[in-house]
Amino acid sequence: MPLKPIKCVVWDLDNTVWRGVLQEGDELEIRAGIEKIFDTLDGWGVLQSVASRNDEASCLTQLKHFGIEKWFLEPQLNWGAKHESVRRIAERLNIGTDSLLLIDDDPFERAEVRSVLSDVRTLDVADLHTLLDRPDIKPPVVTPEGRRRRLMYMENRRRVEAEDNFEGPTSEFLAALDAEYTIRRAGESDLARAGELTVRTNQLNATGRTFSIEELDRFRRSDRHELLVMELTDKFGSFGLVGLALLGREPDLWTIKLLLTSCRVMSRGAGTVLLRHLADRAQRHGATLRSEFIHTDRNRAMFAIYKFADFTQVGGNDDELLLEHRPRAASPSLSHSRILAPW
Amino acid sequence: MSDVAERVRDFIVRAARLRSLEDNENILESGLVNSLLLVQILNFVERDLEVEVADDDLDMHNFQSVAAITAFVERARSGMVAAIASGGPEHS
Repeated sequence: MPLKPIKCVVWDLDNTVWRGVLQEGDELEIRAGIEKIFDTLDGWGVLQSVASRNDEASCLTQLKHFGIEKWFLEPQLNWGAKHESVRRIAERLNIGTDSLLLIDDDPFERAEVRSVLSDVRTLDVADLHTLLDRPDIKPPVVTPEGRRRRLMYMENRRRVEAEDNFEGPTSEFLAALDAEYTIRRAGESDLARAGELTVRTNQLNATGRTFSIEELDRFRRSDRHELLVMELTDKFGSFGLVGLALLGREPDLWTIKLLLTSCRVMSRGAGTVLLRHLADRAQRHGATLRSEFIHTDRNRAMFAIYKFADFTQVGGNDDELLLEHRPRAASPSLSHSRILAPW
Repeated sequence: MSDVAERVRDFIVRAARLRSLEDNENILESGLVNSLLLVQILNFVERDLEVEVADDDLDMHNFQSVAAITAFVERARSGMVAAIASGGPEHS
């Protein structure tokens, strides 16, 4: 079985990121070539953090002095056990400890972390030259979302803080975010992320079908299909590509064969936005809109979104339903979002 | 005022961070509730109020206000009571 990809590298500081020990007043020197590594990992979409048993304020000063503090999310600088720091990083980043790699010069610290969190991978900094060649760290395809992953994380942190501090209904908070959806035909450069979404999205996924980049490209070029992507931006930044739809087109009948939206934007009602847009377009073309739907043990939320968007079952069997859009009067408001739709 | 209505109202008020909510206020048309919240309400009805929502019951009219949700829950529950009173679901 292939190793789980590493989503975050956790760096020790003393004698790892820099040579020397901060608290002993050593003259510190940043490790040669390490900034190139920070930059490469960041470009691949691998997040980075630090865990060091150290004084927080003087560490932060030192990181800023070297100009490298920007690379690290949720730094853990304290005198507690290192496994606690590592666990906290996983929690804050909302990833499993089995997608972490700790790089530390101290064999005791590496063993301490593994003794409690046995699924954390560790690397002696003496072997740092092997890091970028590890099969579990370099993504097979680098997506634009991967390149922006650290920034998206920071944007989302500000978004969550703003929501916590917002006094008033959630609907007003969402309205104040200035959400802007773009729905357009997929381009060639969208295919890697689109394929990734079909694999990674379980809950908000109408059919659960996965496609390779080559298959998606064939649909993109086909006259009888539309492959559409949806992007979302708000005043805190861009989520990148968050939705995907594959539509089979006959003159009077459009059939959705795949519709999904990333769980990262679940609270924004993105699924409804995409579905309503398709319904609207179909209606303007005088076409009936249908959708295939395959129940899985994870996608009931998507089924509810269809039902609440006035889709009703017209055929199929228990495994694979055929739903049809039959619009009625009142529908939930989409007033908090703007939709730019070149398609 | 029924206990169900109170629990439904409390849940929506908390989930949508409202100050108050009238029983007949249409939460869908007013934009207070988006599709995620609808799904949360659905989970709340199933898990906390212990009423199973069949696919056919996933309908705006059952979920558009506190009063509508309460009526739906009470209908579903009395359906269950009736089934028990008549000897439970058919086995034949």
